[in-house]
Amino acid sequence: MKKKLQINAFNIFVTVFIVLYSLSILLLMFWALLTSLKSVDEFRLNVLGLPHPFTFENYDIVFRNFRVPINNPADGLMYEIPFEQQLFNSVYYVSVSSLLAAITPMLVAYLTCRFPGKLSTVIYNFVVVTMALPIVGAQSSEMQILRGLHLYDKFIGLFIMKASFLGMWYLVYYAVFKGIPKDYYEAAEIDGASHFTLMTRIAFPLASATFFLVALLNFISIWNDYQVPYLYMPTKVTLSYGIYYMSISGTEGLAYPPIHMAGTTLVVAPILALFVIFRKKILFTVNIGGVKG
Amino acid sequence: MKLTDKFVKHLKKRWFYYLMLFIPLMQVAVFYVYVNINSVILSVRKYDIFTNSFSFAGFSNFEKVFEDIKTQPIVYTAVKNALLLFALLWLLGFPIAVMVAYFLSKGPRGSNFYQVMLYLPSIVSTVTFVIMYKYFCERAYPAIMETFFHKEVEGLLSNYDTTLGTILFFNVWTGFGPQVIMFTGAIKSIDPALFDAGKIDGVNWRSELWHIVLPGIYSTLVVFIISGLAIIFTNQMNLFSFYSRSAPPRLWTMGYYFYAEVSKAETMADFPYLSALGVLMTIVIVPLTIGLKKLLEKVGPKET
Repeated sequence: MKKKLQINAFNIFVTVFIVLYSLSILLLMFWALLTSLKSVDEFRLNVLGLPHPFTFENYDIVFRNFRVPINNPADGLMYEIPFEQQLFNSVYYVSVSSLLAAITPMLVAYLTCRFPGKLSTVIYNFVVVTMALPIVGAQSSEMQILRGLHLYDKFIGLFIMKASFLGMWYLVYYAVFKGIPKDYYEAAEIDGASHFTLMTRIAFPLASATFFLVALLNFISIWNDYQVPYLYMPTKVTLSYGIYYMSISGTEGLAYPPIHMAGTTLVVAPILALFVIFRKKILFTVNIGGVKG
Repeated sequence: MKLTDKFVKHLKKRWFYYLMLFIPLMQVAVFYVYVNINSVILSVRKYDIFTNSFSFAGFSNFEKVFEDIKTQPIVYTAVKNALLLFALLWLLGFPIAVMVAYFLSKGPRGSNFYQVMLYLPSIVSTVTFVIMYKYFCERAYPAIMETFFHKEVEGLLSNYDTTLGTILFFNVWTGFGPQVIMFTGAIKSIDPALFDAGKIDGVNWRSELWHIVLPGIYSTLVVFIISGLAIIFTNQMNLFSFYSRSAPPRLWTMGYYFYAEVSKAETMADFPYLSALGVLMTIVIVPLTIGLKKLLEKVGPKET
């Protein structure tokens, strides 16, 4: 229920602050959208005003010319990765990675919760310790290992790297499985259910809401990340890296603010759509993520 | 019962557990445990680009790191900027985030909208936000100053005096929302009876914030401060998104330096030096993180 707050210095200060904050975010995004709808020539003279006329030509330019050149180490030749290929790479890499990054902690959390013992305790404590233990500059080592295993610059290399159970989601799943009454498992066991059936027919369906949200949040963060694919999978260009490349390179025909803004709008649009559709669930999950002692 | 019989019985009972755990444990063994062990091994090796092989180098990489810290201002600057960012996020961002979260937890009108706005910078990719912000600072800001104040000014990122401040502001501005959302969640989970008791006693907002809210969310605050310190040497301050590999050295942070160096490496020749630097930074930050955690747990406010 929305409340009418009493008027005092604190409420006035915070209201002004948060309104300004929200305006600053909206203003920036609105300005970027308007800029993407101006022609390059118009933007030179009209940086702040409304587009006159509104044009979608920048989006068309992005679709036609949004290419990222790569040097393929396999044959030493230069190739250009077009927009469609970047889109395919993004969807493939992000979908598989986000699923693996959601399934692995769920599987390990279930096993360590369902089969208590020394190994399960060690795994639980290991996850907690790694969350607080800062490791600096391990990229060189990761790179060397990926190259040594012939996984460098391959989708499969990053899929394996993302399939880790370390991190906060393991603890979230653990709490979910801990809350499932043992009677459920016992009743199924009496009916002759195997370990696999117990896991896939009872435990996982009960954790499906959490799984869905973890996969969604992973999808958003992996979609937005350009640095990991750029470092470990440089020839499999994703859309996020494409946008980054466009922003730093002076590629002829693309190096103009309205065109950059059209490119950013295209990358942001699917994620914003997902956020708008699932915002209640996402914000609720993040809200309950507040750690309580 | 023999030990082997016991083992066989145990395996029969738990075969599913071990079978299903095998692959996830192997993944962590290689991509976490071995990666970090290999980082230490790399730090005492050197790479020969002619023979394409590593050999033992003793502590020469560490000696070079210490030499660079003494002679190269870049390492000093990178550490200083990382500390500056942490201080800003902690001293400026945290108190404001707590106050905003306290306000939102009361469910004022528009709180759903504000929560969406606060979370938006986390949803939209950083690189796209950087592109928008960069052009706003470089093109819209001078246009605003000229149109409304009749002043000709440089862009905020081009101006030498405002570059660092503009980038620091970006980091605080975009990193602030998720903190507020988390703190709001933590405040909402405080026992409402405490607030009711406070109201009966006639406490004002200052007392409520200090005696009920802060003790109630203290563990969340500690987690944020500790994780903020833990990533102090890996935080890139989004410099790679702003400048790629050509950020002015006066803006560098350790996180940016590591990423930029590894991403440009064509051979593995630089890896031993970078690993030595990483190992040294880890040695510095681990006791600091553990020490700060213990200190915060000791000095924290007690619930009243």
